[in-house]
Amino acid sequence: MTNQALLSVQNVVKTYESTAGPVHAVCGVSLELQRGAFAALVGPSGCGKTTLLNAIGGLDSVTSGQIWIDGTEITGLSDRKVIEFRLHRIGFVFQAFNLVPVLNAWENVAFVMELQGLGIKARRDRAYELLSAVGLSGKEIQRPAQLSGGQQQRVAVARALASRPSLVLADEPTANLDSKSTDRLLEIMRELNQKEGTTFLFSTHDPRVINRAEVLFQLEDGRLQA
Amino acid sequence: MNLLLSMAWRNIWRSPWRSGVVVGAMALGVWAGIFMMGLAQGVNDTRTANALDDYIGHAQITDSSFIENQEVQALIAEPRAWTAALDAHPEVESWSERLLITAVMQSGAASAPVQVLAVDPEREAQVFKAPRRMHEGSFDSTGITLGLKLAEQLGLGLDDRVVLTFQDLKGEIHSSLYKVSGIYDGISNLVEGIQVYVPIAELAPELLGTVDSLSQPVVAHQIHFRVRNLDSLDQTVGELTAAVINPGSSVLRTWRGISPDLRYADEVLAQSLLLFMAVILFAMAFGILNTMLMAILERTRELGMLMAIGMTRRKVFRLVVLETFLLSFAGMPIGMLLGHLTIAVTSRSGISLAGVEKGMAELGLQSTIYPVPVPEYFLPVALLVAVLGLLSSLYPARKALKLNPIESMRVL
Repeated sequence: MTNQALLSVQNVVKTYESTAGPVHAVCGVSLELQRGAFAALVGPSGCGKTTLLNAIGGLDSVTSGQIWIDGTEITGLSDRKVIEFRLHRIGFVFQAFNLVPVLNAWENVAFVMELQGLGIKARRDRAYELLSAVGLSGKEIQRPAQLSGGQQQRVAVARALASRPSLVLADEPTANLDSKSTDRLLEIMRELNQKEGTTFLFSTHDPRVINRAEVLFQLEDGRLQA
Repeated sequence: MNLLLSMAWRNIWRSPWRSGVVVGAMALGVWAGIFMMGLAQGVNDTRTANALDDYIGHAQITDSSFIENQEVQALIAEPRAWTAALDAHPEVESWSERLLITAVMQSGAASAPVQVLAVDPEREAQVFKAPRRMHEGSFDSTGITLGLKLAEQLGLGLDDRVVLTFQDLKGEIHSSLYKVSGIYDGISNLVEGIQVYVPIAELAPELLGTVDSLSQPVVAHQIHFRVRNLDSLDQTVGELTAAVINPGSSVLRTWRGISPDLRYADEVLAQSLLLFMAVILFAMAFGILNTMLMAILERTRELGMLMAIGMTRRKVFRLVVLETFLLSFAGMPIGMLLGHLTIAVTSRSGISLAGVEKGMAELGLQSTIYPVPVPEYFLPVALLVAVLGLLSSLYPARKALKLNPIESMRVL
């Protein structure tokens, strides 16, 4: 791992057992990502992007190999420590938005901070600030069902940034959005990347995302292409 | 408000109908439980009050050997010392001396064993209600007063003659002729069928074999008394016991000591009512458990996402427990309020059970029951709801705890 790298993936292998035999989803992938990068894991469906992203986010275990984030080897952490690590150091943006329907926009953003133990005022201020940053001023008390898909995904981006993470992992964040919403979302994420210095790593096969990414990691059949 | 608590509350109402049914069922269960408690307490209180008013009184002085064998010779050693103490105590409302013998009563057609209470009619009516519930005739004459049930059983009416055969103090068999001067209509069929009253001034000389002190008898097997405030009975009893310097073998017992079954009935009732409530709530718990399991199943994806963004398993567990608790508790205050209001209304109007009047009389009860408010049960009921809420949350919470974020988020 180089001194500047925020993320270091070293020879990671992920193999699933299935009735048809073992499935090699990720085959010895190694990569490094510098702090403040705006990067994307790209490749066709089933190439292992999401599996690798989940492993980087500590959501899934690896069969072998190591993953280091900000100096911590997350592949060696206990389940409880991984959850704690995720809470403080990693933000997630999911393909299907995955907002809590009973919470309004600012509460969805503030929920992670609540889990971190922040006070109500700090939570509210930060949530409002982030919602403003993603262009949702005035929508703070609206529930997800009252927002469009693009707006919901922007709330999800604000939520991902709420805990001031080192790394934001976004799994196909534009898959359910139209072109206009995609452009707006990418614009916002790029601004936040530059303004807050947060590192973004997408998994995508959307050319609009690929075009905006600074760094691309091409995956094919679980292997990183040169 | 804590966001987790707020989230738990809102989660309950994601399926308003489903949760509404559970909340309604809980309210109905608690209402039924509280009302039944009030009704049962009312029955018990009435039964106790009737027993105290009809044949026990609030407290009784008697010779200790009379308690054991009810022998006719077991008279109170110093009845005047006791009656003087009773007269002097401000808390004592009234008292009545009794001679109590077992006899055979014979009418022209039949005979029956009876318990003869020889009393001062005026004093007896101040302590007990039976002399005031006259069906026919009067209580304060020189004849015999018997219960309606016994009169029907022996085919007796006013002015009929009966013979009482009993053993006097000397052990001689003694027979006396009495004219039926009154028939009382008691509450308890048991009492009505066995207790007959004669004036103590009539029976005492026959029992003693003397004509001494006809108007002021100085012998008694029992002295019953009433106090003004039943709550201070124990204190009054203590003071009276201390006031009589030489009580001999006579003892003073409160109604709880005289009739332990009534005291135990109170205690058993309290336990039974809570058990009854627990059974109702236990049935409710299955409804809550089912609702929460469905909720967890429907929100698998969301719970997985919450774990993915950093919610610990402990907090997921807490969220599910909190939701179950809120679901359990939402209906409880409604049920309690409705139960209390129902009791408040029926405690004034009463609930008529005229159709089973005879059966009620066998139990020593009137046909109209007056439920009593039972606020003392609210806290135990709330604790029961809490315990059952906790128990019914454990399985759904464990289910949630075992979710894997990745697999959960794949659920459509």
